[in-house]
Amino acid sequence: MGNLLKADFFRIFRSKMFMIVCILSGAFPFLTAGLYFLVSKIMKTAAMMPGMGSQMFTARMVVSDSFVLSSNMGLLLPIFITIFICADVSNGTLRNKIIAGRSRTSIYFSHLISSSVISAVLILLEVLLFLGVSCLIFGYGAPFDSNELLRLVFFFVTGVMTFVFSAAISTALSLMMKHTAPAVIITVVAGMGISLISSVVHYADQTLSNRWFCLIPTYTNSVFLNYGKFDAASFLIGLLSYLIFGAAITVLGLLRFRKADLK
Amino acid sequence: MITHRRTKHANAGKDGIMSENQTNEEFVLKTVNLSKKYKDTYAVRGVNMTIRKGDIYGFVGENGAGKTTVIRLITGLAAPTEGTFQLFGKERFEASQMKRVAGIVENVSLNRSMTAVENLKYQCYICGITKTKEELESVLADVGLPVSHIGNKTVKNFSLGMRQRLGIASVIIQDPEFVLLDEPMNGLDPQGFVDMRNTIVRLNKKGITFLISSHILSELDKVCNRIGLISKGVLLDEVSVETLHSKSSAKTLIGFDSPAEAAAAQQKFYANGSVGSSVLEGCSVTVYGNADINEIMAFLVSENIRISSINLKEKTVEDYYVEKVRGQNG
Repeated sequence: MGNLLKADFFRIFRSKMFMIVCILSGAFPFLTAGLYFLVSKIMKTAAMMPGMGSQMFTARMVVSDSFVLSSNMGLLLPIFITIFICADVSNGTLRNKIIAGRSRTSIYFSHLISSSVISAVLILLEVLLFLGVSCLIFGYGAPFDSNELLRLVFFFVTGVMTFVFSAAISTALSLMMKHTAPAVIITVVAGMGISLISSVVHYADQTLSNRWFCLIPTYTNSVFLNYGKFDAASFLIGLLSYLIFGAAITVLGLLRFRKADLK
Repeated sequence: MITHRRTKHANAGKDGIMSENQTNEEFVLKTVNLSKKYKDTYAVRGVNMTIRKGDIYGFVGENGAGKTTVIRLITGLAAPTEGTFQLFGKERFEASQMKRVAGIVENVSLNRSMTAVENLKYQCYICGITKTKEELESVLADVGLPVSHIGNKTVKNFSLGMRQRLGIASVIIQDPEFVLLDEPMNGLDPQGFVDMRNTIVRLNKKGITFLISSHILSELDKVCNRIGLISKGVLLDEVSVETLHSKSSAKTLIGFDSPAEAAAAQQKFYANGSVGSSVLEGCSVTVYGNADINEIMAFLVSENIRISSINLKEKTVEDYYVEKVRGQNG
């Protein structure tokens, strides 16, 4: 497994597409923060919302949507992972691993681990950068006490888990479908679908009275923590949802991959 | 080449058939009733093939005969529907057994955005082996891709022949004992053919066993010591090339003045029966089998058939293929 991970990371770091993803991950915080800054200026100038511009856009608020699967990174990372894994199949290098005696389980987990690590590291760097840039432009927007720090920790942990979960979906779909275009489309649709379910459930339960809705993946992060209701129980339920659904998707993907004949 | 073949198989039976006292360790591959079914159709059925240590085994068959399917089953890319096989005398898919195997299946598998050296390094990671940059460059030079010539070109800028050579390098780098090559001559120029053949023979002398599937029968004839013929998913025959080349299985090429005379002569051969199987090609008829040239001459005289030429030729893999497949198709 260690050697396979070395091989997969070697391939990732040699890939031009990875360079592009890194550049975009670094550019998004500046572009997004710049866009919010422009909007706030326009709104102030046009007196659409007098005196609201600076309050409307705070670092605390603008960063809150960063860990959502329908965000820039929520689209970019699954697409990158899907293309990257499908290329292993289409190049035939996956075949080389099997001929070299590597088990399909270790190949699957090597892809899962490498894509999860890349996703987690890139989203973490992107959000931290976005938070820093936003703080400089708008200010944090709330007293930064121990309670806020705890909320931020919960937010970051569940946020990273959202992207690890997304990497698990991308890995499973890529190794089940093997063809880049349909795998990318279904990965994006799956991410959007999950975000949509969270939104619909939030619409139905606007008071956030039922914390068991946190069993819906991404709900804890995108709704519960975002709208101020955060506690250890909802945080743990949120983590549990990622574990349950992440494990289910991984088992399904692994079973299909182990049984499939490869060309 | 001939000397090489004979030396290599000094311990095998004359016809390349395994004797009972040969142990499992002498088998590199032994399949038992290997079958693969897709929906209602068998891609391969009941394949029993044996490859011994040191063999260069040529796998011959028409498109869709099942050659690649058999190779995919052996390498673990597909699971057999029925049957089993042993690698190095042990059950298939034991990791320790598979590490002794390397191969190219269907087409060369490379990372297109990497250089040749990076591709070899990547293959080393997969196989869990460590090689220095000098060792990697030396392997590339061995297959005719010296770094001084290819520079830092990425594989996507390689010609098909260069990719084929790099594929062979990525196989060699693994120090395997058994190599499976599916159509290794594809895309090679005439010099590439010669280089590939020399590489295979050189590695075989070092003790590496080969299974090579190819449509280029003349090349298999030059490099292989044993041939397995597969048609419509069924392994028809396994034979040593030495036996094919022996006088007893030679073919007789008889030339006639016109195609009509050749066709008429072939009808008489059929009617006679004892002459053996024959193939009509334009103005000539090729007679296969054990018929003596004197018997054929006597038959031609007795039937008052005029000929323009008669030649006794060594049977090639291609002749063997044509003869067997025709026999199979009635």
